[in-house]
Amino acid sequence: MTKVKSLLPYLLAILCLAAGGYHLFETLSTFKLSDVTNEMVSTWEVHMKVVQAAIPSNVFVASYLENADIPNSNSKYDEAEFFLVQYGVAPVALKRGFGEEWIIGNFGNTVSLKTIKPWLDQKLGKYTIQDLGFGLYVIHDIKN
Amino acid sequence: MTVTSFLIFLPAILIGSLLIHLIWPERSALALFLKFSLGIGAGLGISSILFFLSLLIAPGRVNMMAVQLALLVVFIAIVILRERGQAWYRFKSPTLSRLQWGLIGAVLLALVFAILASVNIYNSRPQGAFDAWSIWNRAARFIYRDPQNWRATTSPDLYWGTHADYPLLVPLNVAWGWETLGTETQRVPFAQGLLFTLASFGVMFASVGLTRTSGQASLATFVLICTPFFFETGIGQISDIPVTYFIFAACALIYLYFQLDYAPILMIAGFMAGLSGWSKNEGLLMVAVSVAVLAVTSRKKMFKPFLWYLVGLAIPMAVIVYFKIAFAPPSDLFAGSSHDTLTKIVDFSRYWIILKSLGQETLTFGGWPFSILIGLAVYAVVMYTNIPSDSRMRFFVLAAIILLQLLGYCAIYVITPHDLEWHIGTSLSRLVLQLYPAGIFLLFSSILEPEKIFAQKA
Repeated sequence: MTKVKSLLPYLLAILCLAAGGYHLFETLSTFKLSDVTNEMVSTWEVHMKVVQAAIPSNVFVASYLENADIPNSNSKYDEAEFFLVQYGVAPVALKRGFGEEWIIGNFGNTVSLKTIKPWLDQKLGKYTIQDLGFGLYVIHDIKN
Repeated sequence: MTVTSFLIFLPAILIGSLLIHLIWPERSALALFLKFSLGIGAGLGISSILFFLSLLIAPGRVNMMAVQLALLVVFIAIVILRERGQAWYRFKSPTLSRLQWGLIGAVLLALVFAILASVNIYNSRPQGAFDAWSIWNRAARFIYRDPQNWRATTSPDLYWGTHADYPLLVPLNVAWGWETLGTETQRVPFAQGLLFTLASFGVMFASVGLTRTSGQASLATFVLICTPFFFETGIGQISDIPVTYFIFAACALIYLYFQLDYAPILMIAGFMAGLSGWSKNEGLLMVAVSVAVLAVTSRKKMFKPFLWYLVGLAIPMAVIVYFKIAFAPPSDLFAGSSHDTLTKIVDFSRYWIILKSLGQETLTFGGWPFSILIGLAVYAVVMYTNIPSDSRMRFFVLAAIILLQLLGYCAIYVITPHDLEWHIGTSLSRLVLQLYPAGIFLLFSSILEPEKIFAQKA
């Protein structure tokens, strides 16, 4: 038993070092400098800067619409994208659905403005819409 | 930018270290190292509280660097005045055996591995983990981008998943860091996360070194450094490692109090426990649990030291209570009706799901190629030694705190209004992580150290 006891601290140290080295190797093998610019959040940040610039600085709350909100849409609500937009437009608080004077639309590239316009006309009445690319829109509900 | 992102925290770290030195003037090398490691967390806690108070008094841009430098000068002056004529000549660097040097060298090598891995992870994911940008850096942006309306970060208009009720230690430090550097760089939250991670290693090494030996301290630190999940979480820019650090620091200090019988240590422990609540809501459970355990213990000739603990808690708790009452929206965890909660409490299938998940977590925790928790249990059985009667009290106090904290987490799972399996899947590993360093500390402070084994062999 004494022999086992005297070996065990060494075994623990060797296992720890091996695990640490293996972890480093794993991160090295998955790390590619070119991936940095493709990282999801950083990519969104570029688009969010445009959205942020389109909203007046005195706006503290904005509505948020996305594909799942469009009537008869088969899309499911994408919570991760909601968080990405919320992070990007801080300090504006986002609320899902209509209701605020300023609305951020995140409809993706698969939905055209032509498709959503009748729905917006019905819901909003008088409004302006800025197409910011990447499926992102800033809508100003003028009558609100 | 990377170096300056670390340097901006230096005044806060020095303030924290000097404050702890003023409360606990021990001058051994390990104690000084422990105080510096504790000073990192205490200083970052103080800087966030100072920024919070300044935002309360005069919302807007604040030069936090100037405020901290002024405070640092005051602390340096007080420490110089007090240290004049003190017996620093008695200070001796520790004498270490070959075995101890070897183990320390191996720990340093593992640390290099871990730091290199962390830089790689940061480079491939500079925005941090999901919670980093959806919760913590989101809050920091609200404060930094519009400090006059910083309260918007706790707005009830925010979606519950952004957790506007979460305490602000981490976001406030990131916000003033950005303000100091004049830019919203991700290196600031990364630096803060890395500092808390490294400080955890420091507290582990120094506290186990003080309770046992350098060899034992090296082994305990080894296990912590080489746990991939610990390091990855630390650099993920989220608050789980800060709250882990504060829970662990409070636990280690409570243990040290019982060993050294120096009551002011409990004041630092109380401050650390309070800061755990200012880092993340789980820290509030730590406050309740530690106060309850120490209150029970205080019946045995410990009433005055218990008061020291409460004094340490006072400032962070005052800040937390004010924040929760005046600003924070209600927590999503208590959104259910009392009828719903009662139904969940008597639903025993929920307990089974929680137990099963804990069992699975035991096997997979930490990102090791094998179960580190079972490995440590085996190590503890082989290295078991009778706990001397004078050490039993501190062992049981710390074991009780860790166990009650774990039970508290399970109780939250029982009553959670969210889907139980989703809630467990997204949080259990981080909750176990929060108790992991305190558990390692307790284990390595209670079992046979390598020095004794080799002495027995000789």
